[in-house]
Amino acid sequence: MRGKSARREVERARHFEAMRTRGFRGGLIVPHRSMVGLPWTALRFLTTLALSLGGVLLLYIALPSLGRLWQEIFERARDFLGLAAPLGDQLWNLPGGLEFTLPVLAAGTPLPGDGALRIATIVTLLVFGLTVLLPVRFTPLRYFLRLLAIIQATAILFFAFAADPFPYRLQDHVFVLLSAGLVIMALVPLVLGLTLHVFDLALWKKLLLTLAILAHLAVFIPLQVLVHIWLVMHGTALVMPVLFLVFGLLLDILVFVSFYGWALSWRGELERRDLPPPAHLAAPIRGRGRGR
Amino acid sequence: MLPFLALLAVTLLWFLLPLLPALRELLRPSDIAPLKVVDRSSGHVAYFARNFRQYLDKALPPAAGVGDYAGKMLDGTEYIRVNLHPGALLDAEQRVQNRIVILDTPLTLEAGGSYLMELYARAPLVGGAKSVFRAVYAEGELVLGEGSQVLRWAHAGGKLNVGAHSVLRGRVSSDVGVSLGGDVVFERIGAPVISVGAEQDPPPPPPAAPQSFRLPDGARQIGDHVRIEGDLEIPEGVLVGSSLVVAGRLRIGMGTIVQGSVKAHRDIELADEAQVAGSVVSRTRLMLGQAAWIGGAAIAEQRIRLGRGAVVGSPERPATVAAPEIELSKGATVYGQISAMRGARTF
Amino acid sequence: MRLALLIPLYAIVAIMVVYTIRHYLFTLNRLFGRHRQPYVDIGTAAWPRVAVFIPCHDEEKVVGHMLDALLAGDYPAEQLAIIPIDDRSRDGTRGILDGYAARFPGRVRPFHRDGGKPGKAAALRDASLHAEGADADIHLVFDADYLPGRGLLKQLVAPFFDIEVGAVMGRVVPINVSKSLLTRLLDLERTGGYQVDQQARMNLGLIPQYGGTVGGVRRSALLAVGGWSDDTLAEDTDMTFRLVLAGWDVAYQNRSECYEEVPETWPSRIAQIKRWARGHNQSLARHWWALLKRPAHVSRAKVADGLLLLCVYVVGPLLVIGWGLALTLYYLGVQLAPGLLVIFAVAMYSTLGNFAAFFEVAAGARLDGSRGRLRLLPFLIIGFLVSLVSVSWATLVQLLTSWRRGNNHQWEKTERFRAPGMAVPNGEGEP
Repeated sequence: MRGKSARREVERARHFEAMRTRGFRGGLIVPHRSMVGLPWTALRFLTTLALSLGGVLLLYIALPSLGRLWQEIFERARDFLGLAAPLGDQLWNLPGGLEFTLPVLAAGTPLPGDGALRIATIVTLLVFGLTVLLPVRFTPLRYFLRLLAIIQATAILFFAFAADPFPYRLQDHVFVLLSAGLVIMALVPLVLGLTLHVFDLALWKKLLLTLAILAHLAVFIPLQVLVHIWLVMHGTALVMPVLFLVFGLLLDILVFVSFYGWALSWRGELERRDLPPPAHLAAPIRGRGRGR
Repeated sequence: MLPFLALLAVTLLWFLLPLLPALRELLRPSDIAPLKVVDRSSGHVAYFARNFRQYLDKALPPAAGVGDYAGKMLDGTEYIRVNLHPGALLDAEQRVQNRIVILDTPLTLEAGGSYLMELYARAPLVGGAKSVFRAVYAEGELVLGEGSQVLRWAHAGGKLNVGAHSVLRGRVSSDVGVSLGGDVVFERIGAPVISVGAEQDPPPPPPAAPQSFRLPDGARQIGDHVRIEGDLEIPEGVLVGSSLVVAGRLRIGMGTIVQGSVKAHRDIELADEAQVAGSVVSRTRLMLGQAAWIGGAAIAEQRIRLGRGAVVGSPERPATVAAPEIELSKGATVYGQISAMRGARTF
Repeated sequence: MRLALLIPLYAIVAIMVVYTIRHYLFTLNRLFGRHRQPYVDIGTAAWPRVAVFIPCHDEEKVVGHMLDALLAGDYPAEQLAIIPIDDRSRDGTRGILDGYAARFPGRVRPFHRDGGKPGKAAALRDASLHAEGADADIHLVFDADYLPGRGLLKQLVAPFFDIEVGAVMGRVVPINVSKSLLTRLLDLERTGGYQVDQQARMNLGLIPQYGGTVGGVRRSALLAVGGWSDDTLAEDTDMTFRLVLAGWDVAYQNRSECYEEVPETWPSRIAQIKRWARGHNQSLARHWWALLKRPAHVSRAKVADGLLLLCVYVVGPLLVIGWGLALTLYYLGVQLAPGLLVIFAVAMYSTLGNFAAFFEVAAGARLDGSRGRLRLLPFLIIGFLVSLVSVSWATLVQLLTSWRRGNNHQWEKTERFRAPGMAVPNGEGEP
């Protein structure tokens, strides 16, 4: 009977301990938000490490498949769009002796003539004018359109007056976007490790999120670049600066931020298990309090 | 053109996919209310106790009479009212009471009971040893027997005596005073006087004509205090006329009086019978020797130890002792409040 | 030529990285580090005399609510003087204040200004020296549109029991979150700035910033540093650094929350952030050298963080310069390494305002228990873009007109959106 009594005592103590954080109707009493923190465990540290390094490793293993996927997307898109350009590949030497094959469309880089410059000037001025007419509640949109207009204006000025030729071919544009996109993909597991896996989300959610972002970017990056290719081939090199500076890497990062914000709106494990978050400095009172 | 538009549409849709939660939150917000700023004086020690008292005023049926019976509050919560037979409070085997308890006459409770809802005593109450109370409100005197546990709060309109080896979680308060036995562990207590063992008399008056203390070279006057870089040891039996901020450790010698406040970035030690008229703040630990006295707040960011007969505050000027961990020796007295988030213990 | 452009670009990216690391470490500290709120448990004390200053200029819409809230507080009435400062108001503010003074004699003591330099800083300076009741030990300051809760004054006064504390700052909580996307974004920004950034600086013994409202100063400290500066747009930042350089601490108390109204329209927001930028830059110009010389009582960590804090509104213009450099290098045909490109692109996403990075905002919102609003995180770039343009423009204009002295003498405040007689929440958000 002694063991039974001890067990009952322990259960009683646990029950009392739970009562400390339960309101009169059973609701959880949490410390004030100004006092709470997150619990940190060795397990979370290890899973963070595992997820980060594992994600990079996964990408490394998947590189050949990724290269084939991008080739496939480029090939099908070229045919779908009716682009008269042979599809090749370009070897990119990565650190550590790795190699990655980037798809390359051997298309020329059309340069703008006078007509294109005039049309671009008119459109740019119209866009700028529109920003003046937009109501103030569209201020961010006004600023964004002005940014586009300013960058486009620099491109027009360059093509109109610069002595040197435009330094980039379409292929350079494509290469940089694809390679930088791959760098972003490689950084995703590491950045998640630093800024998301430290939270108390369930392991499977963290894993799923990493895979989701990588899968999304794996498809988005080549699609994005293909849209650029078509626009440059039809809008001339005049549109390359805007596409590169505004609609290139920044969109990839925006994708990451969108997933990140969504993931951080998910319920954490403490909340799911209806446990109070720790108040910093709080610890069980030493000695008594757990039954005798 | 059409194939391109199709490609653009697919690319746009794919891009927008992870933005869908953001767009949904924008257009159909799920989390848009301002943070609830809780400020119903919820920091006051007796806050929960007062809330419960107000709840009883509203929820107890007006026709409820004194006696021994079980009933229901106006909101449906069950209660049991005991006037004559405290033995009826606990069930024989589990020795537990799951209903709100209302006691109308002076009673002594049996030992070993667990009261898992609030207990309200309209008359003086003596709790049994090794009892567990979720919360207790006594209009008069309250005695918690040896080895008692309080889980959420306890309040006494009269004197509150806490038996040795008790554990008081949450908030404990009294309108008269709290007397703590040995080896009592608690988190927060507020009362006009809180003492370990018998109540201590106010500190003795300062000795006549103490010597003045000459501040060390390098001490700088900053506004209304003097700053000393490094450690400072003030000898015994001197008078310090100014407030001090010490970048290192501070030791105030036996019988020395500081007429202002002190702050140190490291440990502060008040030797026996040392006195500081103002507040004392340490970024690490604060130790008060025997019969040392602090007139104002005593704050430390790690630990405070009050020696035998040490005193903080006075009946006219109550003060707070606050640190994550606090140790109180026999005879230590605080006029006002003691708060220890990690726990305080009496010796 | 390319090197002459690349080096500054790398330098700008390096500065971005330094700020990113700083905010990252702050967030880690707030989540997992040792938490410092040593004064929050002071509930019983011999409370000192306090004067609460409320600078007002045309505040008829809101000042009544403010006074009602203060009068309902639990600070001992005999120790409290409420001093609304009416500075040349042209609306009904004066009448409202005199009405309260008549109804609560001795408790509400309006200070009317009809002359002298205009502006909040000048008004504060005048009142802190000459108003009836200004000889109190502690001077608290609230903007007129705030709604302090019952126990807030005691909470804000508590840190002053520490003789080293010269100023205290509480947490500002937006109440009009639901009005527009802008208010929701600003709410996220404030969350990151207060719940994480300020508290981390308090935890690490750095320099929490006194923000000019929901806070206050010790009168003896104020006098020792020469009182409020009346020639600055950011008397709060200026006071923060003057106090720290003179040997006082600034205490941030996360628990001491107070409702405020954030700007609801973009023009109002732009005006606010331009004002903050100009004021902050003034403090940078005034105090950077003194900070760098490092008085004996200021640690190296404080110096480093203090400089980063002072330069926070310089980052925007630097970013614009960086964009310009990147654009120029683009046309010069410089192929940036993909890694560097990525770093620059990521750095562009750091938001301005209080410079809360995404991680910081996310941590703050989760600690607050309001995770749902984090879905709006990608929209922060909208706020970033507007802030970037506004701050850069304000800094440029400031540089170009810095030769003109005395250009701060006007009231600049956030537009009020409440109406008199409107039901307002009490300190708990309940009407």
